[in-house]
Amino acid sequence: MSSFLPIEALAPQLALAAGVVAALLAGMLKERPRGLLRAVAVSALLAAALLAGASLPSAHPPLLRLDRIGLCWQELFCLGALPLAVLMEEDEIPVALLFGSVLGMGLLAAAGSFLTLFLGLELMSLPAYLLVSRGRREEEAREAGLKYFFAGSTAGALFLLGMTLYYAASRSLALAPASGPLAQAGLALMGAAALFKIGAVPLHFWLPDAYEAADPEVAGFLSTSMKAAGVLLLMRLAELAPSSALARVLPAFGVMTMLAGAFLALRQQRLQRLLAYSSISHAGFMILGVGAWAAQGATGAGAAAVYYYLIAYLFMSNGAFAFLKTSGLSTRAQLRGYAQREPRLAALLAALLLSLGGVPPTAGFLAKLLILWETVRCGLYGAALAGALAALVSLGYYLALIRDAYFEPAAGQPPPAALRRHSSGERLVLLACAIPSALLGFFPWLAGGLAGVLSGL
Amino acid sequence: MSLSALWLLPAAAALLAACCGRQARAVALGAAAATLGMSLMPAWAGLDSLSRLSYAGPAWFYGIRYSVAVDGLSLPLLWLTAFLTLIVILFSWRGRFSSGYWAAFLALEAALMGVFLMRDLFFFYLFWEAALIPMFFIIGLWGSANRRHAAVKFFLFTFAGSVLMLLGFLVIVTQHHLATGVWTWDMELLKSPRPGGALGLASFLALVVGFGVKVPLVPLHTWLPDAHTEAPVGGSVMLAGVMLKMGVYGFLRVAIPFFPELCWRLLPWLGGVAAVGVIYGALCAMAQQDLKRLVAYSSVAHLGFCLLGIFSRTQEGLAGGSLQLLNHGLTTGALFLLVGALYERGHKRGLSDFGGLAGRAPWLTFFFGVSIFASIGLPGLNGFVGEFMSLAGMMVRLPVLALAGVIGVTLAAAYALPAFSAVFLAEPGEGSVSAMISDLSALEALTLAALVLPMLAIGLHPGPLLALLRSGVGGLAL
Repeated sequence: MSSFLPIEALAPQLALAAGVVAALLAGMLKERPRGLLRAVAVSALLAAALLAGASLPSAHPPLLRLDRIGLCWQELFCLGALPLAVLMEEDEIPVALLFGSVLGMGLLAAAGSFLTLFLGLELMSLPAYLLVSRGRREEEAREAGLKYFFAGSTAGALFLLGMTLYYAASRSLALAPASGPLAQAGLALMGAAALFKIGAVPLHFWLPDAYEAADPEVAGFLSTSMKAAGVLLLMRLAELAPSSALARVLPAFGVMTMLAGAFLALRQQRLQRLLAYSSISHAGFMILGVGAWAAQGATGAGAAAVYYYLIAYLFMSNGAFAFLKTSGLSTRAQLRGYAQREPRLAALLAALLLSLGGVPPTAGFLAKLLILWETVRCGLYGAALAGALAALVSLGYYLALIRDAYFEPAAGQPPPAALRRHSSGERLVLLACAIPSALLGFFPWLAGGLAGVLSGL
Repeated sequence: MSLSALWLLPAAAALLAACCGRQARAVALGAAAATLGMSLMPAWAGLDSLSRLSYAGPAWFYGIRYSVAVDGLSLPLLWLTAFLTLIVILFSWRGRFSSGYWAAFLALEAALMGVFLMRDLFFFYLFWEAALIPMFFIIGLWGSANRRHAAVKFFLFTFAGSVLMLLGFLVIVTQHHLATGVWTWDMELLKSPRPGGALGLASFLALVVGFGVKVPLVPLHTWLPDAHTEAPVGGSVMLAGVMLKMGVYGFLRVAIPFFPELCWRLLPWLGGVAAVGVIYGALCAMAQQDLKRLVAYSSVAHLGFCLLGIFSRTQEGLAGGSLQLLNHGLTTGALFLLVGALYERGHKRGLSDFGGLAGRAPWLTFFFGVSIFASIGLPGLNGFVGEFMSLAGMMVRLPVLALAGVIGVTLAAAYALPAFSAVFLAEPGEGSVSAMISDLSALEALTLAALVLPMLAIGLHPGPLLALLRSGVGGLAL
């Protein structure tokens, strides 16, 4: 049965749309029970994730196409947004914005034509600009939101231009291979838009400002779900033409991004900015993974390496930003002596940082290992060496943070924000992020299962 | 009894110790003693049946499979790890340490036991790296003045080597798959076919760097003096006693069996680097005024002897080199404990800060003397057997390198004996803290006796242990 707009293919998106309505309605209540919005937010995201998990691959031409990669990524988007849903303020507007953004990502993942792809791209980006602009430090947040908006719109325009060129070559908006110089140019422009979204060097200039001015939990969402969406976009483009110029330069972009991000993060004193640069470095690994996957014909288990990286990063990055939110710290100097004051939170932080640094037996280790392995498999030995170097440099600043928290004596009074009591939601998010980050590396078969799911076994 | 218990028990105990506050010390002691007991059980059951203990789980992902085994090489190293952990815990018994300290040592023991047990490259690497984390905290939290810098330097330096090593593993595994169509990380299966040509050379060199940082080979050794000197007593003992052995174990278990021809072809280079280490470490030790730093540099020299023996690939050299691993663990462990005891009493470590201790602290002097003589290879003590066999092995291959080793032995006497005489025999000078030095307590003396007895036993009757080691490494001989 084929209708123009198949309900069953859009079930996760419908759940999110219902969530938007529910959140806005709840906002109109005069006396809203505490935690109602949070419950709505969490349950809608979980419902969407479950619906995506229960869906089967199917095609609904011309607009939609559900494949295994798309469905897996839809779950990823919802899970990556969960910490934000728990940590955000009790206000209907940000909840609705968050749902809108995730809905756009879902659309992007289910796209069967360039039109849907573009629709998803814009739908996921617009609410994100607003989420950034609503940061607690208003001046900075507004400025960064504007900057993010302009950068994002440029990416959107690039994508449209690329789409037009591609259409000129293929005479169709369907996601189908096309050849010729026009198609190549179109792919390159659309690829640039995707790299913009991921924050690849040299298209990363907006990212540190946006991540720093946003609330930490929003930055966590941007660095996980939003990056995952950008990576998926890149994979869709690489899938169209695995041997195109775009696919072939991806490893170079990956290497550049991971090294630049790692070196730039070394000197940062503000924690949120440091994590922003570290997220650039991690994005480099993801791009390298996509490049390696494309080099193997954009089929097979290579996608599992990227997916595993995103899952691991989902826990690590959301956890690290949730730590910033929970602890109320903003600079490295304030981190000094933290382990004496808050031994438990400090232990969670150490686990998250070691995982971000890729030290065995953490999840971050297995993630980096899988990417490097794929790189070695397609013979990109130079890129693999660069990846090792980037891992080493980035470990330098993660260890420096542990050193601050554990080995340095406290310097002065903690900031007032740090003396607040931690809510149970904050503790839950931190635990739920830190424990998988620390221990997933012990279970390589999980990654094996993913490879099976993604290649349809 | 399953071999996995050897790492699971200390790991579980580490979690328990981290949670249970005051009782952590007792948990640590109990777990360390139980682990030592369990590690000795295979010897009880008969050494011919070691292969029956191995276990391999199902293949998980790209041939990664959990598999553990022991043989004549890893079993003594397991003993050494469990033994030194117990010694360290006993020696720190009276110190006021938080529960984290005991948990960290148990976690370290678990990781180190894992390294010697695992037969799958993936898990080998997992434990290899995991051992860095507790040691990082041990140095950084309980070390001396410059500990923060030393901890980060130690971690980054060894991590750099290990990442290269991991790339080497990936190349080996991928090339094996290309050649056979089978994914495996199993150490036995990967031995053939192995990558050849430039790729083979590159992955071999990556392994050499990875293991060489740990040993340490000379240009890669700069993390060692800092880490050993700044670590707390127990940390230094575990670093020098066990963690350096991981590097040599890596050569014996992975680098040489995987690339026997390359290793043979590069013998002049590899052996040359080891010989440089012997001489350079000894010369550096001679120049030290800090007793702990002196012992640290002597480790560089001693590990050079091990490598000389092992690279010679003769029966004597291999057995002697691996025996020297155990010897060095015992003697350097004892020396670090004694330096720690001196520092605890006098808060000084300089050679000129003491003097005339022989009269004040006879037991301390006795144990120090025995350990120093064992370390410089006096016949009748363990060091002699290991060094002699290592050099004898190398003599057959490249006499020049053996000669360098002999010079190294002489130099060892030239730095160890003056140090001993300055601290224990000479008249105390200006500003000496000798007056503050009391003799060892009963517990300290007991732990040191436990270290010194095996030194004597190996020195006088090395036969059984050598036979065991030979059964483990003899296959590598040419």
